[in-house]
Amino acid sequence: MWSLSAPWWDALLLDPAAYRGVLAPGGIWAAVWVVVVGGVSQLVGQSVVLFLNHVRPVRFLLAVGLAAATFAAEVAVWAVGIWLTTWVVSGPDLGVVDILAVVALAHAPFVLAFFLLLPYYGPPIQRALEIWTLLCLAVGLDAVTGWSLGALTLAITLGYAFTLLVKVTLGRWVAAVDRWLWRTATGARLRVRVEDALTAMRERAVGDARWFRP
Amino acid sequence: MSEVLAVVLLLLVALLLALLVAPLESLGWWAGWFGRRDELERDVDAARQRARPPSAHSGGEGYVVFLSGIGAISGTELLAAEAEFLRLLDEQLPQATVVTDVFPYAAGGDGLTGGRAFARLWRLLHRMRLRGAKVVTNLVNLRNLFQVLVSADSRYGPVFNYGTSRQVLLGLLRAGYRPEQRRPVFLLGSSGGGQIAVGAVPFLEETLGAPVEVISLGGVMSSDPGLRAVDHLAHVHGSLDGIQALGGRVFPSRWPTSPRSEWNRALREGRIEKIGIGPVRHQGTGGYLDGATVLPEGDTPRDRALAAVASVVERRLAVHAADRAAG
Repeated sequence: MWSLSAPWWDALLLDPAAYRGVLAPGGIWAAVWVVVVGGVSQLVGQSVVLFLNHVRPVRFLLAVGLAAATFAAEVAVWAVGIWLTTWVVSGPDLGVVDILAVVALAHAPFVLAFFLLLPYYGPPIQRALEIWTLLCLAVGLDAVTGWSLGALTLAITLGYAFTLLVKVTLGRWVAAVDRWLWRTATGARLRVRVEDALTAMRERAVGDARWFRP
Repeated sequence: MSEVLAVVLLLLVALLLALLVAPLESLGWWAGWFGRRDELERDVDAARQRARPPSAHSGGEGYVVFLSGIGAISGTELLAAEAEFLRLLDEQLPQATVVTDVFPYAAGGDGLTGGRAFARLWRLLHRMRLRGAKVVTNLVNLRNLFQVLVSADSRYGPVFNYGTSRQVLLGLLRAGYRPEQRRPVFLLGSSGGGQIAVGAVPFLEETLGAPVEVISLGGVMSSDPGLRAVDHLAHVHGSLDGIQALGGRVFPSRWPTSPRSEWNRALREGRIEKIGIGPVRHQGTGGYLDGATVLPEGDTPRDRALAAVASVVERRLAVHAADRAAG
């Protein structure tokens, strides 16, 4: 487990060798480690939504597990999008599993997503992690394909467009799965979103008036 | 040298961990993780039963709720300088009641020495602090400073500020506040208490249906969404107080680069009144609560702070009385 953090660290520091290493025999485990730990870390960082919805501790752990699976699914869709682009641009040089491993490892910055918990200064960290991931992805794809900057940009952009396409075309099913996952993990039917917290609390304060102003 | 570096590194990691877990107290309180059911009805009844009888002076025109600076350890154990300041303020404002027993740095209202897991540790630290251990003072300050950041956070702030608003409401009831009279409430926030005050305003207004205003005594405040509900914020500050000025630096939404932020909008709309009281510091010698240092004009920093706060309360009470008379 601990040994897997070394490639993660190298990937984080944009070391091309780390991305080439993930294609070596057994190298895939570093990518799996990044996705699992990154998914859990991201949920911890964004756990305010679980607290807002009164999720109990046991359900909280279940939600953490499902978050890792959801994160893995998002990474996989993006990887498939990039693989499809590479396939169109240069033919079947790299297998989908190879691209998946590189894209997964490029999500190394999300292992630090628990820093989103930081009060007040947490939210901007999300943007920083996303930009960092894009850089990792560019370095990683460059390391394994040797493409030009233009081709790399095209592949990453089209790959991302593919994830949006999947969301739009399968929107209803994605939303239904999301609702099911939410209910399964938290046991709560409704979901108070973080951006609605102020309104929810104000409504609660209005309700409290019955005790203070009988 | 390497040992020193290791200790510094360890301290930094401990600091980071403490900052990371800072929101969990109020979030856990809201989610009911700490075994406490939401018993507002019971708390309200208890507060009404403990309500103080009216004091010698009438005191019913308005209520001033003191939200202590980040050195606070509980609602019932004020620092000596704070207690003396509030006693004098109470004397200067016979038409208002001063509420002093609200602990503003916990959504559930428990002081650090009250019903919480590490209460014994905090009690020990409190005793050390009373004996003059500065490190301990800094630990309390740091813990409460992190809660100020929780209050200012757009994700955690609503929960935290709603919780502290309930503590203010219970404090008002204990002080004999009668909600049906809808008397104005002034949140007097000292230092970090300024942020807590601003955050609590929208919830207090919803529950009380009465005017709620903020008086900041060297307050460190963010551009909190609560400012939208603040009709008047008086920011009393000394020219030697660099800490209150930190609010304008560490909270980017207060920068001029965010002209549409709540803070900058309130400034433009004249809802924030800045009241300078001359060469007064944030704390300690020459600070707002210092009644010993004599300034060149012959008064003390505390005299100036008291006069400024009392003047705001009197002026605004007159405005509200006129509004009531006008129907």
